[in-house]
Amino acid sequence: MCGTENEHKGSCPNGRCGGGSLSDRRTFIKRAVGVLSAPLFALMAWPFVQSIIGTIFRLPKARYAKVGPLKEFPSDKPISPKFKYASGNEYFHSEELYNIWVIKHSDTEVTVFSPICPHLGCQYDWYPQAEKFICPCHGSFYSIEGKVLGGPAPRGLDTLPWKIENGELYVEWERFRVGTPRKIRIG
Amino acid sequence: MTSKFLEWFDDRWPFRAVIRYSLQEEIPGGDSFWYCFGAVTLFVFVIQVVTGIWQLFYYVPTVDHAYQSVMYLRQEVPFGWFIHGLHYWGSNAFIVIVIIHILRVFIWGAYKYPRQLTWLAGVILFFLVMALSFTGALLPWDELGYWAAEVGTSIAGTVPVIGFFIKEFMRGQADMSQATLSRFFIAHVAILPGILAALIAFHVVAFRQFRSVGPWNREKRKKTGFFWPNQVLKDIIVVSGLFILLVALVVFWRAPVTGPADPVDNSIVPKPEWQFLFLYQFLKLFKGRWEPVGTVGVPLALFLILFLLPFYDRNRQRNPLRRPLAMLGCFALLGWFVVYTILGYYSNPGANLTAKVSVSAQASESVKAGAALFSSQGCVACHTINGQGGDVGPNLSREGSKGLSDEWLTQQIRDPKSHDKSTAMPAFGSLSDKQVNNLVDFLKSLGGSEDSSQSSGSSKQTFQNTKSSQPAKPTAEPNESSSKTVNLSDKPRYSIVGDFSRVGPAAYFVGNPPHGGKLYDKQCAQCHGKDGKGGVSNPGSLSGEIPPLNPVSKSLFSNNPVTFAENIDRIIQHGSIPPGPNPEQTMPAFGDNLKLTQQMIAEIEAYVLKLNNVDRAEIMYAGVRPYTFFAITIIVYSAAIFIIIFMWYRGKGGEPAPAESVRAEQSGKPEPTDKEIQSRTEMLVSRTEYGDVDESEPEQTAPELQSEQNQSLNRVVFALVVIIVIVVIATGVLLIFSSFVTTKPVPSETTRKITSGQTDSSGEQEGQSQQKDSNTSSGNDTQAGVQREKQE
Repeated sequence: MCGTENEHKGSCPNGRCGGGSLSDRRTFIKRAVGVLSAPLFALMAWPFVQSIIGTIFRLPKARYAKVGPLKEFPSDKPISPKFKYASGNEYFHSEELYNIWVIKHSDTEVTVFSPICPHLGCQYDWYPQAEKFICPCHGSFYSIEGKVLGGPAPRGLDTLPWKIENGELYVEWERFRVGTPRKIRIG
Repeated sequence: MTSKFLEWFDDRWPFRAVIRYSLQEEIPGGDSFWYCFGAVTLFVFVIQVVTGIWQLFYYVPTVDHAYQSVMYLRQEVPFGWFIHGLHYWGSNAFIVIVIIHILRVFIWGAYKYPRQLTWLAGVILFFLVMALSFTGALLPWDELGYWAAEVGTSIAGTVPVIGFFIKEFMRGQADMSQATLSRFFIAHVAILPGILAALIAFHVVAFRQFRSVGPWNREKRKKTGFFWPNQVLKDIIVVSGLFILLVALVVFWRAPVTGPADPVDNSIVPKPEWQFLFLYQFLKLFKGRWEPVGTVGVPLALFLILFLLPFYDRNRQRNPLRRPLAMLGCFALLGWFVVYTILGYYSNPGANLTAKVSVSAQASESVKAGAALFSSQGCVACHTINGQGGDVGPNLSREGSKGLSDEWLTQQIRDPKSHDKSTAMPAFGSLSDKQVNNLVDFLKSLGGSEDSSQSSGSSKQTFQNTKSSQPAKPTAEPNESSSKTVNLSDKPRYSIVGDFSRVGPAAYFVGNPPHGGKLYDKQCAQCHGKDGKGGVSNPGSLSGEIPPLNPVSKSLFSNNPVTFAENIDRIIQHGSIPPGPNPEQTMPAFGDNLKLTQQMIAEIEAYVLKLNNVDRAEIMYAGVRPYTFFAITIIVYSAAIFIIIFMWYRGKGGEPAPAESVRAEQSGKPEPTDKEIQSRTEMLVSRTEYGDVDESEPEQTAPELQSEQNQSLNRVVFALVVIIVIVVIATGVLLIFSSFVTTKPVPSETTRKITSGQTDSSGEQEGQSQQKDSNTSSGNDTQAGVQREKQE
């Protein structure tokens, strides 16, 4: 039975068979198979893993998008305009529609909030009677300044970068991680 | 712990039996490197499956985004270049290895009783692999794949009676469209691989049952070897060699970038990929109504010859020397394949179009203009003049001596059907009267008595169709009515006509520079100069000259290919008016006026980028740079080989193997129960029907066997050393070759091969990026849309 799978039991008690090095030889070949397979798996696994996790944390370049003429916005009252944003998202160079919350303080000063609740990512709304932003999902309350008044929200509303040129409001669309006390940009 | 778990598992699922069935096999005549090709094919199949699935993380099968998604994968996904390249080269390797495997099986006579079904499955597998390479080529929706599928489905359409249906069934519609892409996609990623996997299982089970066929010499067959681990080691050595080769191909020969598919662009000269070249070349022998014989008959005959082989070759003799007829047939077929592939490779389908038409320098202007028209209008594709041109129409070398009147020739050009109703010549109604007159003058100068200087031959001027195909009217549409003019940069230089902020879709298509060069010569070279060198005057503008593109204005240049393409795209799309009191020449709006398709603009942009040493298809997020990855591969494998050689020397010294490893072996594979042995024996009995299986144990005593096996071990180590030497030499050759490519100047010639994207090796890029680094003059880097990621 020398040279077969079962040589080590019974007929070859020392793990050696006949002339002595036959089982060594088998062991050597098996190890050689292992040593040669290892690089194959390693060199294949590395690119394949990195290719699907390497793009996750890449931040797209933010660009300003035109929202509209500032003079059409009411003063000190939150409104939610929609605007087109040319997202350079991967290979889709398409324009998508987003909305934001804008509060105009003066002709040169505004506050722009991301419409995404920093708790778990719902869309909150402005309740004029209560004079609060209220998120319907889990009941987070925010003041008109964006401060947390109640509910589970870990931080206040996220502001977005903006600029005013020739009376037009421009906004940079950014996204932030939800559920964390710190404001971390993710997109 | 593991053994207990294994036992628990094994009681509920026949794990050990399956492992034993797949690994325990006696090989008549012993293990051999000749038997590796089946295993290597399986390895390539696994690579194709894994890389294919991984590409689906990024690929979308839509005509408007397929190309961009593939280029995104190749340029911006870490290791995307590797995964895509491995799939590309794997598909080529697949076909080569399957052909070698079939040849090996044929020479060994392994398709004879009882292995006919194994062979049949194998033949179907081969044709499935060909079908996969055909369907896969279309998926990027690039020029190469688009035209291959267009022609391929049209070929299916030449099947008598049902051809029309087959063609439209494959396309899903009358034309190539989204339906076609969807059908090819689902065939490529689901249906064909599913059938392939099932047939591979069928093939392998049959192989396990009837085992390797072994040597044809009955005496040699008496000695047996083992599949596990001896044959597996040989398999893995060849697999590793192939893997290193594939990595080298991926790193040093990038898969071609052939540009986005453009059904409108008639300057494409489609040619199939190498595996279909022999059919393409052989098809040329069948003309007229015999064409279906070449398109359908030949592939069908090929399939039947292979498929029915076990049925018409019933001779049980396996020794190749005693089967002269079979060997002759096999090598005749192989020779036919090789010869026609080479002929197809060197054939140039566009040759007639670029044939030179010579006129003497002393000829009149009108004759010269006629000669140019003769080339540019494609006359030369059908008519031969002085040995150059096609043979569809009559030879016109002595047209001038035929005494034909001007009116007759004019009529023939304007309306050929008025002279001969059955003529295939198209009517050239779009030519102006002056152009027709030039052509007539040119034709009458051919071989006529008035042409005395023709024979001088010393000062011949050549015209090519790439030149002056368009009358030089750069100011075609100045578009003065456009309302907006927006400044290009902070320093106002050129006014852009149209909406400056709007970048066209072309900026995000990765073009194919050589093809772009061809379009550039046609559309742009009159104003911007050959190779973008400029030098064309523009009276009335501030600079007095049309700006050169090589080098391009610093305000447009960027190291980032996307930003660079966006910058020049605005101008090509919307046109521009140079500063100055009254510029004579203005840039037409090629995109807005539909003078060029977006795909054509993308090709031209890629060419302009290349003129400025920026590679539009540059790998922006490599993960690890290709060269580095290749070096890592070599280092890792060298280490593995040295470990094995070290282990071998240690084993030779007579040291016993550590006990743990022996126990580990045992725990995985305990002694089989009697029942299992019996079932295995039954299986073996059924295998012996043919009589090529010797049931008895090997007769040799242990020391003999040992010395023999040690000998084979020496061969294995020798093979490893040979691999090291080959890898080292190959690396050197590849590095020398790539440095040669790097130092090659940007090709000024616009002669284009369909596969020319392959020359865009990453070596070129690295050389270029170095040049770019030294060239810090770019003022536009802050606009970089995508930041570069250097090595991590």
